Amino acid sequence: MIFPVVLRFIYKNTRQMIKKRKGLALIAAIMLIVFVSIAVLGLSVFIVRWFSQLNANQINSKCLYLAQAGIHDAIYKVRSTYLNPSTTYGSYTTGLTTVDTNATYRRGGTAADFLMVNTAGASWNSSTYILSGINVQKAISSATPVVTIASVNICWTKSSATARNINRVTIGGTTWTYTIASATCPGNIIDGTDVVLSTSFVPLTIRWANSITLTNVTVQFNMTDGSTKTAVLWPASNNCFFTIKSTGKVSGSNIYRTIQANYNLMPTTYATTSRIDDIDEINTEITSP
Amino acid sequence: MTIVVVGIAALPISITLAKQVQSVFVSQDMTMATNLARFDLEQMNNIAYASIVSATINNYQTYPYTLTRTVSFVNGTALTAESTVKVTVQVTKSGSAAELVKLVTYISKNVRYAF
Repeated sequence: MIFPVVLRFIYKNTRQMIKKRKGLALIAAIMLIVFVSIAVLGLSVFIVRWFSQLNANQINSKCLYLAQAGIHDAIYKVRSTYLNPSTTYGSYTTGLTTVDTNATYRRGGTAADFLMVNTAGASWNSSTYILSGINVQKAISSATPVVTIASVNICWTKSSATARNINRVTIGGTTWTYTIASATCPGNIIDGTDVVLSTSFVPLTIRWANSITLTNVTVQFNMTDGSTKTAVLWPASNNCFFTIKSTGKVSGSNIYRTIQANYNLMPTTYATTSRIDDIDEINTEITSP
Repeated sequence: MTIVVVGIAALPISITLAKQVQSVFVSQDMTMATNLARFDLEQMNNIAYASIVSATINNYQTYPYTLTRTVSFVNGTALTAESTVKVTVQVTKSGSAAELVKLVTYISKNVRYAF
């Protein structure tokens, strides 16, 4: 509204001044000031953006190292509670932890992330129709999220020509009596009463209807939250892995960095070989618990 | 009249320009400090656990910055089988007390990688 009026005023006065050939230096000075002001303003905007980019880069680095703090703390917690008492493979906590002023990490994940499946001791009974020696537990001592197995899919490869069905799966004190035939992986589903896991490991056994010689047994655990985890139960392998997810954040910023680490306890050589099998950055913020 | 107008306008423009020049140097310091802090933390991630110790290093990596590394136990102790240290790295311009960057992380004992 005011701007056109001002422009008209400047235009009118400028024309009068040019006619009178007076104040030309002033006009030139004002024009110069306007141009310089516009240039300085533009430069200021550029520098402000540059600084906010620098600040974001710094927060990015901070968040990454905070996320790392969450992973390393979880590994400490698992290792320091491993088999102490002798009924657990150890556990860590989920949730928010403050590392420094305004600097935090939060650990969380799906139920499948927290499922530990120890296949190191897998073995067959003398009549070769029961596969046992496998233990499962949850990797977190926190009450939430609850880690519950809703069902399992099992597939197997036989080395003999005789086909057999599975007729029973037992996890801890829960037995699912079900008859399923062999099928392409992930195999047929066995469903029963949900099995809520604790930090104490419980045995998992699978029984076939009769003696069978298998080269491979693979189980897909279907958790109540919809997540799944696949583990090779036979042949026995020195594996007991779980996933740690940690998000680093700085207060007052919406920037986050999340690291996901697959940790393998390698039970039979635990003290010297337990390790991170895989570690990646993922673009998912852990927001609960 | 011209001199007065130019004088009035030149003052804030000069101040703004001076601040902009100053900010170019500050941004250079911030970038250098962040990179040096990251360099040090990556070194800590790749050396023996027992070698992660507190230190103050002037002219870090021959650059005119002072790096202060503070290490403290958050889980366990130096004598326990398992432990975790908190590593805080702060970088300042040499001769200045103003902190340019501060990075914090935890490093646990016996963390191995399969690769």
